[in-house]
Amino acid sequence: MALSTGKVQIPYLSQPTYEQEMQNIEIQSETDDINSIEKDLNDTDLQNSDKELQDIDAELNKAY
Amino acid sequence: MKAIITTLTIVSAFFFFMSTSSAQTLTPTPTTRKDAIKQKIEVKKTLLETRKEELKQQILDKKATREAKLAEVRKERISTFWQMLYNRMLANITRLERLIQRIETRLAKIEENNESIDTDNIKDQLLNAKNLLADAKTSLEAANLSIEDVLSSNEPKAAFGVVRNEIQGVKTKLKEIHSILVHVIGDIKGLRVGQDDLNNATESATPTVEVLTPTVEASSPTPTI
Repeated sequence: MALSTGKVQIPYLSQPTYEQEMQNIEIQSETDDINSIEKDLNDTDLQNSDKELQDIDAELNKAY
Repeated sequence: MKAIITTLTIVSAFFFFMSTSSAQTLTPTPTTRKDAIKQKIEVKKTLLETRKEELKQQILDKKATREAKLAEVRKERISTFWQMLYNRMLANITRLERLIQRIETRLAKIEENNESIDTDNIKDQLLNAKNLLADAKTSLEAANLSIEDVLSSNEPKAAFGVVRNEIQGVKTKLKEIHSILVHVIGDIKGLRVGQDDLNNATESATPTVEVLTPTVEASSPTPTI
């Protein structure tokens, strides 16, 4: 029996939008228990905090 | 008879002279014709040169207008990206501020329940983190104040280099603060106190901090022309 060769759906890995990223930064627990603080600290991602610098550089380097 | 011949000769000579003279006036000599053609060519040449210069100027004007428009579009796009960057940085600063407040609240509770406990080292680290945070905030605001001048300058690319360094400095400070806080949490966990002192959660331990709302149209992080 031949297998159906339907279209293969490639999962679309969407990039988080700017709003989602901002929301992730702004939301944190209100409690002062040490485990909650530690969790929020571990969830703090500063690696992309200057993300738009690349976009600005790209604009400045564009030759019109 | 001799007199008649002489008179006829004089009259003929007179007519011949007159006809030659009038012919010279009506028909230009070859030299005069050449000059006229040359003059016509010169006039045409000048007209062509003028038209050529006008066209050249029109093209230059159009190019300048187009470049000005593109520069304006580029400035707007960069301003949008800058607003996004500024809001993101400020949100991260606020996040770290709140984390420090929560740690301080927890530390105060631990001290309250354990009077003999030494928390000086932890407090020093927190003070260091707070100072770094204040520096980061000042640098970010300074960069934000200068961005308009940077974008209006004749050499925005070079001028932005200074702002870029400032922002990278802010990022380095934020990472350093984060690292200090991770260390502080480790130190607090290492204190000889009961589990209740560490984890008896209190809701709303920190004062409500105004949540930043991006002023930029967040739905279009990559603006299109």
